[in-house]
Amino acid sequence: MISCRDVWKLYGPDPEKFLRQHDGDPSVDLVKDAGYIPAVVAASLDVMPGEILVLMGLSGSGKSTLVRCLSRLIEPTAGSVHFSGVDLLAASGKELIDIRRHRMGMVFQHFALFPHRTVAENIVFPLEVQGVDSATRQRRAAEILSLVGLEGRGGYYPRELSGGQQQRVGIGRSLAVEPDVWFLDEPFSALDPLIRREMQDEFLRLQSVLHKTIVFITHDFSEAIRLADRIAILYEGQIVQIGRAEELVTHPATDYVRAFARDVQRDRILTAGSVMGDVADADAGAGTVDAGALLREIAPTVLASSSPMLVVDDGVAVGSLTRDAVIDAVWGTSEPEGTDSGED
Amino acid sequence: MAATVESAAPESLLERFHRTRGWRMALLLLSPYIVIQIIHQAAPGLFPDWLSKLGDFRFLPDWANEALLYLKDEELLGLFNFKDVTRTVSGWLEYPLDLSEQLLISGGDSFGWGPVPWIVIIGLLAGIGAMLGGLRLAALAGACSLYLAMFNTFGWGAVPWVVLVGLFAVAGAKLGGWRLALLAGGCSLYLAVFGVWKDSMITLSIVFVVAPLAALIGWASGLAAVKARWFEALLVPVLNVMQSMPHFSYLLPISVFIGIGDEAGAIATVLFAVPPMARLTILGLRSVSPEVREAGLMSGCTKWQMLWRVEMPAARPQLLVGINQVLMQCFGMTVLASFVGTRGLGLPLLNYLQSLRIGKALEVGVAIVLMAIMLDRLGQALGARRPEHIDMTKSWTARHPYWIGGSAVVAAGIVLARLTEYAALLPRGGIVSTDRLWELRLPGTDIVLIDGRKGATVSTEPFWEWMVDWVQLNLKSPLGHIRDFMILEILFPMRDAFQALPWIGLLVLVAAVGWRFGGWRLAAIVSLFVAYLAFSGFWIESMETLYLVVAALIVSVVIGVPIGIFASTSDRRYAAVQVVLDTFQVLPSFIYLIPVVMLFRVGPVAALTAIVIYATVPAVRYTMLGLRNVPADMIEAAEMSGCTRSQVLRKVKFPMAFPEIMLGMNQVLLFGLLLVIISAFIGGIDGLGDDILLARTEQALVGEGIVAGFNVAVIGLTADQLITNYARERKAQLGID
Repeated sequence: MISCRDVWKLYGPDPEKFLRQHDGDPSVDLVKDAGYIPAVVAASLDVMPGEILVLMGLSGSGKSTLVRCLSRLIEPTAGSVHFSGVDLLAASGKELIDIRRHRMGMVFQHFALFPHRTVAENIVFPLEVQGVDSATRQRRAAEILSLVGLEGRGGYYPRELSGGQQQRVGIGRSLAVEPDVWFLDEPFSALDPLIRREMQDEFLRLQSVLHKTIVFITHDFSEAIRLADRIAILYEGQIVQIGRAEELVTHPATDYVRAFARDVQRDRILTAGSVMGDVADADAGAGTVDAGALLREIAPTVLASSSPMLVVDDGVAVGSLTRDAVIDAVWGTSEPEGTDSGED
Repeated sequence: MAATVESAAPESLLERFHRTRGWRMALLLLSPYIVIQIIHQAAPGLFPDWLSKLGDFRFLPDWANEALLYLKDEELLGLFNFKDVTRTVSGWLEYPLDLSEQLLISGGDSFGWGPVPWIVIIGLLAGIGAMLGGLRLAALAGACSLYLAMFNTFGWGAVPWVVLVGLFAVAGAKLGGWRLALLAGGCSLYLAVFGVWKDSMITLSIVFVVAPLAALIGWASGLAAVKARWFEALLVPVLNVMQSMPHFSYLLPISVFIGIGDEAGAIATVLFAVPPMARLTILGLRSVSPEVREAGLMSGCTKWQMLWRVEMPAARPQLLVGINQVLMQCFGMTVLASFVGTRGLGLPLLNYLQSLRIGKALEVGVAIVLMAIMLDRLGQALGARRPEHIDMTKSWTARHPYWIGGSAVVAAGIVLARLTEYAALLPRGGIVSTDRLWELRLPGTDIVLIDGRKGATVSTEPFWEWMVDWVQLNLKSPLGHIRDFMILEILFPMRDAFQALPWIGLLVLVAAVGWRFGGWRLAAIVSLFVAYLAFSGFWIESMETLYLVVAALIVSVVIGVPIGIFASTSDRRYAAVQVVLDTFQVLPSFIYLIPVVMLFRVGPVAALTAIVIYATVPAVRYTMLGLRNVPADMIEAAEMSGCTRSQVLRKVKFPMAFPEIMLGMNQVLLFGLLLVIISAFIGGIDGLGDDILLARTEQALVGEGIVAGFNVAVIGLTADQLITNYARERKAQLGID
């Protein structure tokens, strides 16, 4: 759906010239020494139709810049971005406006609602700028209001709503044109933890109905795990690893990823298949577990069993699972300091 | 120069110098100046005369005069005559000014559409109104134009005073509840009842024309500055200079090119009121959050849609603040423009002051004060309004009470005015006291508070006259003593000291201070400023002005800082003082002369007092602001360390607030400079103000007046550069804002 290759964004006096001088591939240290700020460094990724890709990184890691390069809110210094086959960077201003009007939606961290417009007027703003007639707009506003659970609030102004409700408006506005791709830039970061949780559920509910292609930004690893099909971890502008949550936990590419993975509740991510041992060690009498099952679900059985259990995948025996393997995977005996950090 | 000596020293010494603070630093910065003074005093032989005083240069004023004459009489590039252009512009203004005056006070007769540009400008204004306020405002604009059309066609009379008073009250109610309704209604009622309706409506009619124009120009230039970097680089310095020029500097050249009258005042007012609008437009558009902008882009806005549907509406609060400032600046300047013969409330005030009819002057003064307060509070309330959802379950009438109220007022007022002329305009009685029909005395005395005049208006003149007499009778000798003491013992010695100041001494002083806080660049800029003053031909006059302002600064600080400290200690006091300060701030500067003339008649003490009253406001405000902004945990930390209240103030709050207080002094200086010029009007003081005032009456001296006005701006800019740079550095060190 979206595919970007070697996207660079440097801030500084003349970034294009700098990149050209270094054959488009300078090292990060070189970039910094030359006085440039590397916001995005050689980023390549593909977003598959219907998947939720989470861009995850701390503040200043370049995740917001990257997503703005994907929607061309920020002009990348170098690289290519293709949006369902269209070269986005080559698109004219008019084409770009057309793509944004019909195919993209975006939700912002601080809601970015228009303070002078009512909730309904905010929601149908993208339709209004397209010149859609007022009757259609009203109908659509009513649909969206009920979709995001704001019936009866259409006439209110954003400042009269709570933070969670305001973000519902932001979500509603981004969905008004039924976009193919949905960008969400830390949509729940500005909300209280309880509301955040509620909005995450709401988000998953919407996605189960809408099946959008989603690029979701967050700095919260547990949010990433809850929502993501795949996670891309960014550090200093570089994508250090892309993969399913389980892969990040079991095979972290760098210490940086490992540090993130340490703080998660592993029993909610790891499956029997990812921690199992050799199939030959299995004791058939101890019972079987499914390879795709989360450790959290099977822990009581495995921990109660004194001998290794058989792991099966689609009826085929693939491995064995011991009590110690589960304890080691979940409580991380290989990384002693991981035990006290736990959950936040 | 001292700075050179210091920089040549090894670096460790330089670093030590930069670490020096407080008195020691002040002494270090003063030292080169003191050395020069000692040489100057002790060994005049060593000190060439030209370093102390330059000859009587006149080339700058002469150039200014010639430039003016050239613009006035010659053709620019052989194409057009500048004066013709200004006259044409003034001709355009004549039409809306007439129309607005007819509407408010003098009544209309059949009248054409006026010159073409007006249709364009009115259209633009209506468009902006619609963009800012949506359909409703557009409808209002439509209704107004319809009224204007009817008014023209049928030759309707002016809007009756009952209608206007009622509309002000309704507007007050809509914007700020019954309190504001009472305030607006009461203030406008005063204007009608106390016989100043006509003058105040003329002032208002001018404000109604110039404020939208100034707002439009300011908005457009602010917008251009935001969209084009080079234009901003051009505009901002111009705004800086414009805002530190005294009001009179606007009036002078205008009076050359336009002549004397309403149009001259209107044009000067527009020019004067543009800078704050431009600034707030820039600020407003810049402060639109980048996310909101991105939300607009992601919704697929074109550039035009971005500007009109996203950026402008999001910047609306700042734009409205700007419009309020424009309104107040316009009001103040229109009043002051009576100096170039603009009619309205200023003109009678000027005449009464000149003929020392203090009672009458006070009455007009009160009218000006009330009108200023009313316009300001209405404007502020408009700016503070935030949209609220409408309960659609209510009936139409319940949803639109103010529109219905307003329409009812208009209808009833028009009918009433047809029935009795008293509802159209209260007939004014004569001015002599024999016309008195009835009077209200202070109980138990023969002091007349209010008298009813033949006609229907009333006057408080007898009361004020009585008060002035009382002051003259009872306070004349103590006040006289104070005045004489001040003049002989303080002001004159101070003046002599400033005038004896060798210019090179001042230059070295500001250069040293500039170098310390802003490096070579700032040192160069401020030295250049002082050098300009020295060569401008007005060195003595500049020093004379500076001395008065510095004297006022000292008194203002002595009065203002303790008030500020006192007010910052409790929330209630803080709020109360804030209201008083806000009120003082909106009054046209002219007003401050009235009580002062009453007490001290003319002379430097009177001028000093007026400046002090005017300039103490920022001293109090910034002290309060600085002290209130000290972080609460820092104060708690001090208290937990066992500080007494006075220790907290001296050791924690005051050092923290000091940069802000210095910014306050900067404002005091700028305010003082503005008023020192106006004070020249009450006479008895020399200095730049005198030259500016002379230029008002003698066309041949306009060049002198302009250069003198520019000198005022240069003095202000010098102080401003030094103090803001100091405050920025110190605030950064303290880690505040």
